[in-house]
Amino acid sequence: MAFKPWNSNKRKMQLVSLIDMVFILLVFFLVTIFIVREPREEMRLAVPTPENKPGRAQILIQLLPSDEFFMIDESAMPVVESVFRDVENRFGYLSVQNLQQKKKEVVFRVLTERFTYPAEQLSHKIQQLLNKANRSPNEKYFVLIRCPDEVPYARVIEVIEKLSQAQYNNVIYGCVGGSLEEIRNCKQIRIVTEIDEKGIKRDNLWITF
Amino acid sequence: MPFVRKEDLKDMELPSLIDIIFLLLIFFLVTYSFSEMGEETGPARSIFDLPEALGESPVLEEEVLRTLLFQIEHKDSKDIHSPKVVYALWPSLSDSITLSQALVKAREDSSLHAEFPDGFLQLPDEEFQSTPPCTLIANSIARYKARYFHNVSVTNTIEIRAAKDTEFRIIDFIMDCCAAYQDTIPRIVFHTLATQGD
Repeated sequence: MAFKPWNSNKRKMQLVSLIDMVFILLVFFLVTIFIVREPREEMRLAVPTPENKPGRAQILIQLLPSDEFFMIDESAMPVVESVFRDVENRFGYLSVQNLQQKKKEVVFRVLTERFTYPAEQLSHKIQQLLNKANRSPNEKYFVLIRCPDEVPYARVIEVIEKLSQAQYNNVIYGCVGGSLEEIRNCKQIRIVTEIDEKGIKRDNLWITF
Repeated sequence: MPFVRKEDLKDMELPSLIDIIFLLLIFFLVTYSFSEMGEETGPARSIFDLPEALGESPVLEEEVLRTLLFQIEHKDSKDIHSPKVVYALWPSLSDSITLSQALVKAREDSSLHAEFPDGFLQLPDEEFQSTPPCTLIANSIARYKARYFHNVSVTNTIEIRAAKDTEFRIIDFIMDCCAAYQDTIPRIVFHTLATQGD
């Protein structure tokens, strides 16, 4: 009877590979444990209580029921000034009250056309603001977020979460309820020139509700 | 003529093969789990706080309740079309009550929860403010403020724990109620229910 020769190489346990596999399994279970735990955590976010009086903001973010948002900052000022001049030239014959009404209508239309963005641009716009804030740590930027009643509040939280990533904590934010319609139906939109604490003259856009 | 040993060709490196299969398996399992998490929670997934706030740990169901908390969720957690219910969760000074214990108590006690009526978004302000959940919210804040917030302090907070799809009108109402005591309640803490419907 012929026996096959004993081949010790075939039967030998490959210890290195075995250890390799054990380590991989260990890593796998470690990673999955953290993944299973993570979703139980909740976002936590503190928001200042809104004040019961007129407020001011450098940046206004108005969320819209559609996924869009309307955002104006100081870059809107030249547009408003130009529209006001244009309306005064074209409708100078109107009474003061009617002229104000015309200015409000045209400014609202122009601003909403130029400064309404799709939701995908929100991160980009906020990042631009954060970059600006990070370049000027001594400047404070107050952002007012307005949200219509029917919009899920998670959208506001999303905006605030992004704003809270400012490097020097110089982006301050607040949120109030309100729709774009309320801005359209506001009493007045006008430019008010003020002198800030540094003695610099600034033109501000005032919306009276 | 060159000879090739047949044994070399046939010898399958089984441990190495298993090794690779496991690597691939782990890779796909891990990446699948992460992509699912991203879809479920969106970008706002991290734990964060106001810039000036001290670091705080995320609230878990078993964390001790330290302030008045309003939990807003669907009546039936599995049905996103079911009406929203608000629960007023009161902390206890004498004994440590956890969030989940307070929630059980609020579910059992009809004076601590109320359901938003259908079409509350269309109600005029005054009518909306007189609905049972709004009355519960306003009364709870007034009572809590009178009982616990005697002094002006940055630590005085009211907390809101709400499902992601909670309408802003409800949140705005709570903020307005707190705004009446703006000096004594300087901030509101939000907890977004990330695991709604899980």
